[in-house]
Amino acid sequence: MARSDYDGAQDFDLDRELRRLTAHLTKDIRAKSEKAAVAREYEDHIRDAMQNYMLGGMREEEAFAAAREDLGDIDDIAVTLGDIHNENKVPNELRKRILKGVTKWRILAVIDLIVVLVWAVLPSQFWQTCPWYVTIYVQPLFMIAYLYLYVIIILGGLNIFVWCFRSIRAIIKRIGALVKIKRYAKRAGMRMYVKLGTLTSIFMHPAKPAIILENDTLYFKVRFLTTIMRKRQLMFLGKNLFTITKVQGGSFISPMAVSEEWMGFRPKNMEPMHRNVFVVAQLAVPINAIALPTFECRHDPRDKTVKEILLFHPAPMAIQYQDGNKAVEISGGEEYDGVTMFGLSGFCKMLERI
Amino acid sequence: MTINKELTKGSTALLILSVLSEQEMYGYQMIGEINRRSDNVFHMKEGTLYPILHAMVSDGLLESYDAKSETGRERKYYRITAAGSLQLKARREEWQVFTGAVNRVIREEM
Repeated sequence: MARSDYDGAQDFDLDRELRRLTAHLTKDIRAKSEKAAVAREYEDHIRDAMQNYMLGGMREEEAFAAAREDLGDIDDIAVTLGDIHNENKVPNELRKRILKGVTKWRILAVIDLIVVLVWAVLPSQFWQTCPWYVTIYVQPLFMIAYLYLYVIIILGGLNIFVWCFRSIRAIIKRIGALVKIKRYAKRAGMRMYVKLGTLTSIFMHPAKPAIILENDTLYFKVRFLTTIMRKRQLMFLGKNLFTITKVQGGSFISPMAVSEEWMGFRPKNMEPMHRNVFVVAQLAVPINAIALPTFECRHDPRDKTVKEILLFHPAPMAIQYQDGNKAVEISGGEEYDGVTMFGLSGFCKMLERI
Repeated sequence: MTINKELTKGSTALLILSVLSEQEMYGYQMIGEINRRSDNVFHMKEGTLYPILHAMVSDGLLESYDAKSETGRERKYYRITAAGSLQLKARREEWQVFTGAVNRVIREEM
């Protein structure tokens, strides 16, 4: 949209143009309240700038075009605003996937519930008044629906119970880990800052580090990666991390923590065995994917050695990365894609050596 | 004279913190103030100011609040926080060291 687009425009409607422009600028911001506040701020800015241009003799549409041009590339601004305001939130695409995955099962459960309720309100003599073929063919279907409802309730309840149990255990372990790190940091003469959200990072993976450790020369940005299911193997493929569950005769891969570029991603350098199950895994368990946003921490001190650390806690059975067709084991302290990886013990040992 | 964009990129936060350390301002006012003080040398793309301001708010360097401006219209004002003041002090020192070093090198070459 250039300045000349509005020159001589006959049907110029300022409110409409402002709405269109601010909607474009805020299109990537997901929280409605933030979207509205940012839109209002840009609208105020444009109106102020227009007022200045109009005092210089410009017509309204010319002033709008000039103010709009002064903003710069609105596509770039929209992306940057989205990045800033959606930090620590689940990416849109992923959210859609989760909703899609959940909805299918919900619909089935609701249909089942309706069927069971219909059966419950039917008078007891109903089946006796029905023709024999209805009793033989339809009644068993109602019974299956009834049983299925019990299965949903039992499995759902069990799932919630296991999830709560594992989460509480992970939170307790996380607190224990923080205490241990604090002790080792103190011995190493490092200051430790625990960020808000360190405990909630058990359920999601924020872009900002959970803890910062620093002394006069070093600056460690530490982010936790929780593997609640401990008997799993993790594997990095490019920027993506997968859990591998070994089963009889093969492996089962599911995207556990993935980078934002994961959508539509299919790893190329996978072992053939892994490749065979990947597509099935992607279709079967997309809701297991959790976004691992790009590591981000502004205002890094320039006079210190900055290290980005990914701390696996509770640690999985093994962590590997794919190097060509070879799986290389990560034992702790190795750097992968600019990030140094540790388990809790390895990290504390490293602090001890400082 | 237009200044290379890369040169001004790293100093935007310092400029913002500096002008806000003297007075609480809204976005458009801030741009005007920076342009006025720099004799229009820093002609930044105005739309890029707000993402920087929002990031600084989320980092705790600035605070924002709504208030009526001198024209009577409601505006989103920004003010510097204690953390922002500390950051400004550190950045000012850093800038002095940096420009001093660059000046010494340039002088020697001349």
